[in-house]
Amino acid sequence: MSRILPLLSDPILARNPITVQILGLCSALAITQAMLPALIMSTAVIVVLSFSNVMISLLRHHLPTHLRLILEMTIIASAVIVVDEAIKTFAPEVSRVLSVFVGLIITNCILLGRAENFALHHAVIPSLADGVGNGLGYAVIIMSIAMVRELFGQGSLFGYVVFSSVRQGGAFEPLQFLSLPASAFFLVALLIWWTSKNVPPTRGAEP
Amino acid sequence: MSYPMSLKKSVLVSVAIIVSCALMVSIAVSALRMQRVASATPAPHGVAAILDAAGIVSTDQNESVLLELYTRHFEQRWLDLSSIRLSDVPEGYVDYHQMMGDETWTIEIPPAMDVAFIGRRPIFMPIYVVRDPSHSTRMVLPVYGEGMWETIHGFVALSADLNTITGVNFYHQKDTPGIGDKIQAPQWTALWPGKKLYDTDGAYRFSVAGGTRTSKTVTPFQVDGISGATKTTNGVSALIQYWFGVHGYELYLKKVRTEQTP
Repeated sequence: MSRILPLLSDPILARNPITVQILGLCSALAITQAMLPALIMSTAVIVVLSFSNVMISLLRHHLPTHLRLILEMTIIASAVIVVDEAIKTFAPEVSRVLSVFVGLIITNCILLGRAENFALHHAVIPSLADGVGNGLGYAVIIMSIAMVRELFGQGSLFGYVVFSSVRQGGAFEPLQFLSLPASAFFLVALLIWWTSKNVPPTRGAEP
Repeated sequence: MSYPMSLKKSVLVSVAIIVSCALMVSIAVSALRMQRVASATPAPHGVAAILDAAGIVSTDQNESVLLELYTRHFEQRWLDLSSIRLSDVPEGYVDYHQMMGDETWTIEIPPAMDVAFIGRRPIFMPIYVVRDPSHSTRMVLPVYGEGMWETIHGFVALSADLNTITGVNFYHQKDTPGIGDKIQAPQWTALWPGKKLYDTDGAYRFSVAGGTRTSKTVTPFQVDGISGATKTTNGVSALIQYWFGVHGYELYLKKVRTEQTP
């Protein structure tokens, strides 16, 4: 257990896939306008990442070296298609907001990054922990950015009004800038900066 | 991982992985698709757009208020565009936004008729009939087509003659801020009410005027384009032409019109 726990907890802060490994930025910019899509997207990434890590770890001794990238992508893509269809079925509203970005999990560098760097060299249980951990690390960042953007850009959280805007008769003037995808650039940059200043790097290199 | 592997095993492993992935995807996706049910009401932004097109104004933009207004004023029907008959909710049908390109639910548009570059058109379209016994055929019809960067969606409200436009609303599915604001601007959509789609002989005449309009007067079949958004404007013109042409709603509208006149 003592060897599994860091695999789960390290990627949340010290080896966060977005702010430390600098992976998966495109979706972090695109789907962080509001909390609900960010939550669904994070869940999707956690599910796909755990699944692909487990599958690739199971197959790690059998994957032909030269074909492994294509086969890893096939596994990841299959999981993404299933998750995408599941979201379309059970949360059609959110799926409209997420549009292509669930499908683009396939090209999210976190997935191939974890498959290549971790799952190919480790047993199933550590790979699962690594997948869940990195998924959670992604979720933490996405959700924080979405929280700032929705709260100050629209005055709400998960669609519930927190600050009622001037248009609704309140005193809050929404910051239009935060509704634009570019604002996420600055927020991600601030988070990366904060992490590099305040979070000591983990002991040893990449496991 | 890095030890050499025989060609036979490589091929075997690859094929096994690919086949099992394909199986997993097919089974999961067809199981999930069966779970989907057609929603009786459109999406929230659709509700707002329908109300706007129909000219029903609400000061309160709250979702539930709009939904209440929508259910009070509208009834959703399903139109089978091929047989031009109203039908029940087709089993397995969800929403035309999600079914674009799905072979079971769409038919190919002959390239010559595909002026709006849609490619495939849904067999069933939801139409929104105004609940009003005296004007029982006022309706709001959904339309869509290609704009400059992405698909333009919209609703067109028709008066009881099924020819005069009473209002329109256009939106982008992804609602990208800053893009497409122009076709949503009230100054522009205000130009539409009163315009006619067909002339007295029933021939389609409507268009959105481009920059090359020669005569100074705007005919009842024309809406001025938006300067600086020619491509988007042309897209709107083409999508109206498609959806109110013979491959779209024209035959259905004709049918209802003849049924009306005794």
